[in-house]
Amino acid sequence: MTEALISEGRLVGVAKMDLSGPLTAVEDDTVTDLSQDTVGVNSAPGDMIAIENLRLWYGDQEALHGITMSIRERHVTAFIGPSGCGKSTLLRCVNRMNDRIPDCRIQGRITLDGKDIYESKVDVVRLRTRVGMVFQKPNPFPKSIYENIAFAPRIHGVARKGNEMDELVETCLRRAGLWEEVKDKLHQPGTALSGGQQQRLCIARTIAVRPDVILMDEPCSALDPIATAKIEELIDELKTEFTIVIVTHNMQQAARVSDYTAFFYLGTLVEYQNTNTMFTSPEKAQTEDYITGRFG
Amino acid sequence: MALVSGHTLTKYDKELVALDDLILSMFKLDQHNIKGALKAVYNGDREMAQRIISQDEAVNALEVQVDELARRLIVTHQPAASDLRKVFAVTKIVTDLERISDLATDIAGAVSRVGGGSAVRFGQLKVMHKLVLGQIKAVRKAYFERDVEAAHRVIEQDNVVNEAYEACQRVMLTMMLESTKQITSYLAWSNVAVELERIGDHITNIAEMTIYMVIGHEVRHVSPERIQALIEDQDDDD
Repeated sequence: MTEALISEGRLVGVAKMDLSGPLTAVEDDTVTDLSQDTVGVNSAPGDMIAIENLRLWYGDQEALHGITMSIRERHVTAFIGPSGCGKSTLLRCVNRMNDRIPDCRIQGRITLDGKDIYESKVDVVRLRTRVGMVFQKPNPFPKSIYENIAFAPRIHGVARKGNEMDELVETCLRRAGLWEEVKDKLHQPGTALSGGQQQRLCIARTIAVRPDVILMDEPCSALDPIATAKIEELIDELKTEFTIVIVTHNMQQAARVSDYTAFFYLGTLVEYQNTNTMFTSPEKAQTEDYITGRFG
Repeated sequence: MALVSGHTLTKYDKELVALDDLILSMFKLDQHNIKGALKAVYNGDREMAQRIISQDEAVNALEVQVDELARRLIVTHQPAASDLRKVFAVTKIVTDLERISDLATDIAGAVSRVGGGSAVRFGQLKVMHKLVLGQIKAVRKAYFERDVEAAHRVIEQDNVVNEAYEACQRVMLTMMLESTKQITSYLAWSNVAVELERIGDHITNIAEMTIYMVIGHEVRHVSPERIQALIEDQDDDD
């Protein structure tokens, strides 16, 4: 499988990626300075993603200032912080969504299962099958509900035959809690569903390629409370199988759905804690001020 | 965006302040009721005892107001971190303050059974009386000044109250043996000592919740030595 290679936001070639291969050394210009003070947890058994001294610039503007943290496998990690703090930027780094932003430059390292996702031979398309993403606004393909699920598995060869694909579509829709609502209209357009149903369709579409990680960027911000509750219920069920990272402005949602919470401010990771501790006895005064609503 | 001292939503600050105002009123009434109840039983002053008993209604009403405000704060602001700890602590403390008033009422109610007078003969009771009043004053100050060291001293001092209680009961028992005709009166005085000791326990509960509110460590059912270690750890972190 070929994929565009991006360096500093620019297309520089095509390459193949094999994430099952051995750990690859990092290029010299991305070697990190780990002597710098960092907040976070070091990579340990059970960690799916390790972010090491990640810095990111949009042009001359440094948006992330040396983030170091690990994301636990099959747990939900929430990123919180005020607008512009870098939480969505960091989330997008985890499946290289920032690669397509002009003048975006990254230094540091992100590993998935110990393998550097910014290594030059990484196949970004393959990476994104392992690290799926659900966006703020539901974005189903302009195709039928069935095709929304079947499209990516067909492309990636996850399922091919009719029966096999039918089963996969049903399984994904069931896992997303949508099957009973759509089983009689699988060939109607996905865009005809309600906002909450569309978002669950997008989650079903994401899990159809059997990713390891699901990134969610404010997945409920456009939904009503009932649709939000269904997504939160779904997150709780999916974490038994997937590693989930969610960006949210809703702190109660972070408190409800996540096992760990990271608070970002002005491009730095201020505090990364067990969620219960974070919302009852945070260590840092800045975290305390943010979650108690004392930011002006 | 910058750090500010109060909440962005000023109404939230006002409601948290209102919560403290209600707690302060309850403390004041409790202190007044303990003093008045003891004065009434020492002097056999039934009129004063009745006034203390009737004031318990005010404390009960304040307890309900605190609970209502705490519920509203939870529903409308979803408090977190120190705000959550404060609201949670207050909902526990308010129960202790209400019980203290009930116990002061019980003391006042003993006026008809103690037979009046002779407070001088109950030196140990007066020691308890002074200790308990000192404790409630100290815990009130610790709560409003968010002073965990002071709250810890209150917890430690409860042992002194307990020792005074034991001494008081020994004296009562001796008196009962020496003067069986007045056993009803001495039993009533003995109950006053029991009620003071229970007030001391409620004060300890308030001190424990004050420490939780300030440093976020649960210190109920924890030894005073361990509490001291937790407070020192917190100081090191700060």
